[in-house]
Amino acid sequence: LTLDESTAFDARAAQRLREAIIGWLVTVTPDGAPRPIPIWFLWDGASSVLLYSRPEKRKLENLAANPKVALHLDSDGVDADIVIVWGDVHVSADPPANEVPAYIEKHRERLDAMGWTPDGFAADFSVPLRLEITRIHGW
Amino acid sequence: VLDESTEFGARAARRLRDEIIGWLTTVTPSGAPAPVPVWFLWDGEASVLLYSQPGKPKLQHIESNARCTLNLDGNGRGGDIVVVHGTLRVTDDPPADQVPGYVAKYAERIAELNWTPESFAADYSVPMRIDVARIAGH
Repeated sequence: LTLDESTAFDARAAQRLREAIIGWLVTVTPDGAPRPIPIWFLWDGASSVLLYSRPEKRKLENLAANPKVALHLDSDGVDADIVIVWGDVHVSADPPANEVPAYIEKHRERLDAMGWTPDGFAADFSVPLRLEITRIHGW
Repeated sequence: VLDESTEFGARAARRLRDEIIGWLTTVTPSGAPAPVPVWFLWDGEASVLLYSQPGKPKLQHIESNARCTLNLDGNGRGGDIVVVHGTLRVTDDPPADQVPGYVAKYAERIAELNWTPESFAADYSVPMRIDVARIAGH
């Protein structure tokens, strides 16, 4: 899957997936309840999104039982700029966040604002996850 | 469900009253979450009124699993998080154009989108309510 950036929606979606700091990752609990949480993410420009989780997080339990997720960006607050990504998330063998320059670069300002070093963040958010995108939808 | 004497409770209540768009997530029969932007009217307590067009996926989803969330947009940096957890059902509420609170909240958007309250109510003819179990965030 890739976005066709010659279309208006795909170009806007691609720009927002590159630049937005926060996405809402929605997992589903074993008893079927959705669980949206804000998360940092790094889109690879094609069909994969890199995420990091703290090891104790309930989303890891949810994902172990059901890898299906959605990742949506914030709207513009009125009714446009809707970007929803669908796919599956699995724990991955990606390197720690502090060894992924694009991830650190994207989030450097927030890391600084929150008093994290890249090493400190990587130690806390030590579980790499990959969202394999099946569909990107919006308007 | 919200203690408005707390900073979070007061802010969440204000945002639930004022914000135009919420993200409603239901779960498909195969277990995939399905977020969609919706208009909504919170009653200030444990109920949120929505209207759906007939035949939409969320109506099918809740036949097998009524659990849902409604989250508001964040502040873009990871803060101002408000998530309503509950269950979603079709109700016998009156049509949108007969609910003054709903029409007042969405009058500007309805006009901008070239609807009248009556034509909106004809399109979005299925009243639904989230029965709120809890409201979380920070």
